[in-house]
Amino acid sequence: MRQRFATPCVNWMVIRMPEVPAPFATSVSEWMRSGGPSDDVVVSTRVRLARNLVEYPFTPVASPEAGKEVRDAVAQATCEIGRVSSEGYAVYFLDEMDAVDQWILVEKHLASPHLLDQRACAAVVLDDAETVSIMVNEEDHLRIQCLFPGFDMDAAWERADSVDDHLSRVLDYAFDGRYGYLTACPSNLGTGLRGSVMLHLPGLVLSGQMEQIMSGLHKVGAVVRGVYGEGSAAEGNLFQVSNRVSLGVTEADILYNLSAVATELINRERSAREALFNADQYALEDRVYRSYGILANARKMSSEEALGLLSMVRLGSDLGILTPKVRATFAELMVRMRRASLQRILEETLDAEHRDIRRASMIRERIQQAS
Amino acid sequence: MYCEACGQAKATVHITRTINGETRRMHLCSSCATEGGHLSWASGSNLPVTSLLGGLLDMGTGSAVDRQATGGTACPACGLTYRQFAETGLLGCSTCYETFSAAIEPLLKRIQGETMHRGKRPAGAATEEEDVAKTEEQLRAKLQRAIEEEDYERAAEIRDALRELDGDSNA
Repeated sequence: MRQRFATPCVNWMVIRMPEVPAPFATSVSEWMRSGGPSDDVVVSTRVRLARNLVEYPFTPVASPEAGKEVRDAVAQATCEIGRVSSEGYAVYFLDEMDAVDQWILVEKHLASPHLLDQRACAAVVLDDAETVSIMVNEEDHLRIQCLFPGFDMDAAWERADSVDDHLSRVLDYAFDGRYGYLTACPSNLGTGLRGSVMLHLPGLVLSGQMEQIMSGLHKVGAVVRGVYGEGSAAEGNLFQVSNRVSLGVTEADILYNLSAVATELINRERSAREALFNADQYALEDRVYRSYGILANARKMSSEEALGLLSMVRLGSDLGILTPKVRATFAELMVRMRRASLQRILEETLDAEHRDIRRASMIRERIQQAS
Repeated sequence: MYCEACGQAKATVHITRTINGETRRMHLCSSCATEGGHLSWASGSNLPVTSLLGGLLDMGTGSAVDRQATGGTACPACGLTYRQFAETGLLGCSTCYETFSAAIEPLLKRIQGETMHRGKRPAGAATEEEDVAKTEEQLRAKLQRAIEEEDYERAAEIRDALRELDGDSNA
């Protein structure tokens, strides 16, 4: 038996079908909708605050009992917010969810893969629009995340700040006058703040500028990484830019600096697209239409291939080559075509080959609807 | 349907495997599935980035840090040892920041550039001015102790931190 499992070419899939699928499994998160500020380049903006409760050890060393107490305390505190504000929150305990729903949270960027490793005492708190997601017992007791469509740092910060204010009235945070909010990892100390902007940068990648930009950003206190895959050849030309430092700087300054970096990237991306278009309009149009042709006709497609083609089609839509409706489906398709989401939509357990077939047919349908 | 492995519990996990073109279905209860490693979806190795911070700790550490490492200092609140902190780059509880302050200060300088929080404070916390005054007092006491122990390297570090604090509050 052991020998069999060690065979290299194994495709396998596990699914535990729950009685009722979780509501977030098929819903569209707010950030997946189009129409946010600068959405020709920016997919979404996130603000995350790391917080811990003073009377418990941090999650990485906490006993399962302590972890569960933290989880219950946060669950109760969010009910409290629900009572004092009009916001509705739902708490999901990961150990009561099946694996597919857990992975859908990751695919929708509402939880990190690391949270799934902690599933015995992990939870996720979501508001109705899925703009707020609080990860409980990830590396820190609380990771308050607010995710908005497009480039909208103010909205993301205001929401995170307000949720944090509400929670701090009910929960006793670990805070030190000198070090600020205490976190399990010293790299999050102080404000516990990490702002991130998810950018679609095909222009900078196609014109070969990305490598240089990535090394330059480090000097201005920003970190850039591929959303899918590392390095300058990130799949789907999607990059996430975040602040590096969290201590000794105010929240306003951190987000102001990050916004300045993102604005610079947005401007450079727009210029790069224009230059590409002007340099060889037919070459760019050809690339866009070929990508469109494959997406609208292919019968089998991996998610890596789909991401690359969708990126070109989105670029075509941004440049007016294809209709704007195509862009509107981008973020949603990016999530829907991934493994767990695809399974939940189809209510079927699929092996890799059948997944590729169903993925192709779903994309075909959506792309044709949008044009 | 009962679990194929133990035959006791209800099968809630249904696995379809395709191995070299041959498809096989398995029906297991969740505990047998977990034991067999079937419930883990994590792909690839999950190298914790934080462990890299542990490496930073060993760069140019002062004598006070070396003492903590060799003396096996443990946090009185959570029991985390210095060695564990160095390995994972993660602290165990709020008290750890005090316990391992000699190692954390230079680490913060390297990764954050600053050692004093500026920004939001929870409702009911002391004001920034009060905290600066308190920190200054603590640092002076530490400086005194370092001089008495003839740990001049540590004393120099504390003096730098005091200067910085002074500069910041005048800024």
